[in-house]
Amino acid sequence: MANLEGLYEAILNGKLEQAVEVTNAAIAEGIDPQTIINGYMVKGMEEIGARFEAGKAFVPNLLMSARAMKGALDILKPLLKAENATSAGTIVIGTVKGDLHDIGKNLVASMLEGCGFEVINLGVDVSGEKFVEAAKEHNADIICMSALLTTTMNYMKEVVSAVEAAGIRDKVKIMVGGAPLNNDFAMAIGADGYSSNANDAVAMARRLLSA
Amino acid sequence: MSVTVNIPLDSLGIKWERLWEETGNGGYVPEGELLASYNDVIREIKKVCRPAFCYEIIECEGVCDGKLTVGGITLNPGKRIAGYLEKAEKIAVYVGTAGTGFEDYCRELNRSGDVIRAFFADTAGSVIAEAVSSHAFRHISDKEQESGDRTSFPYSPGHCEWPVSDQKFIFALLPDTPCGIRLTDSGLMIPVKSVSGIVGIGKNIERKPFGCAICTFEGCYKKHVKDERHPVD
Repeated sequence: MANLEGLYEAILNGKLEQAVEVTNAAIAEGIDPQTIINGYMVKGMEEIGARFEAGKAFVPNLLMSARAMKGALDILKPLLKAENATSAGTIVIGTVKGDLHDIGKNLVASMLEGCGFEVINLGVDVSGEKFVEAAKEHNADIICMSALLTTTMNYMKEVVSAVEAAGIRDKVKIMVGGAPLNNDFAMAIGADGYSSNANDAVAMARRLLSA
Repeated sequence: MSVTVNIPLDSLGIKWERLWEETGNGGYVPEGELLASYNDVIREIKKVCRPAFCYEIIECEGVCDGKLTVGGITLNPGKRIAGYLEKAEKIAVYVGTAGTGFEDYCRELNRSGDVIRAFFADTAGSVIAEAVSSHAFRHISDKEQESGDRTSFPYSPGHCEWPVSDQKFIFALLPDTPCGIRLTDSGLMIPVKSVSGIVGIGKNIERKPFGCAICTFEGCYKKHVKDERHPVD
């Protein structure tokens, strides 16, 4: 019998192989995929997120958990599609034009993927035009922008304007993050949300899509 | 006349096992699979990382109202930093880097999608870049002290009130692509793990606060690092 508590532990402790093993066993036993996800996997991610916020877990722990979650989700997704289930949402993410900082944006992308979002990672030095094109092509729910320089963060406003000019602002939420930013800046440029770390970005994405 | 110095990575004095405390992740110790990944990353870094710095010492032409004129170029460090450098007779302008080999390694990790190793390498790169900056500062200070001069602490664009956009003036005072570092239009140095700064030099210059002590950026991870490092303390 599949040890679903073990799946929760595997996600919490970032054990990919164990997560995959238990997930396969659970499927073989005919356990409902949504029950596996909501009853155990999501709870594991919620717990590691809570530990991170409390300073009891660190970025590498979050990433390991997200990797284990994604590994198990990849197995379950085809089954979910058969049941007409959808992802948590589609997110287009990139570091804005003029900025080549990759890692913070990739941490956020990994966490979002681990938490069930479809993520289209556009990389670095991304123009407003590219953000708009990708948002249209993938029917994105959220555009997520990163900047690490005071000289590049202002380009985010241009992306917001490009999204408005393209006529899709009412269809897509905009989230921003990066070391020199704060919530006041996000609101001033017309974004919908700001997050200061990868864990918070997941919570913000969920909040924006449930609003 | 610019001077370029290559630094063996080992001589930077980085305590790899305490790297996390330096980056606001105090309390974190990798273990198990993460420790193995971390050790792999550090091993690779030791193979590819070639730290270096380049500096030039230039006569200080004047300090006025938050501006500092050096070699015919006016820097805008703001009133606080400029005030600290009022008695400077010369200014050492420097850049330093973890090197292009390190940059290539980080890019490859990011391309591969191994975000955990990429995170470890990025964290290490930040520490290496800061260590290069400290090393450059000590080198410049020691040289100047030998000739009877005193030095200020180092100051960099992007810190305190000094805009990042002033990087172009720093680079204008140095040879083209010093240590292989180039500057983008947005003021970003490539390799990304690079640093720049200035040090005031003079008979009467005094050491005033620098680094975290004068930084106004509330969101910085270093606000959470209790053991702030000052390179000469």
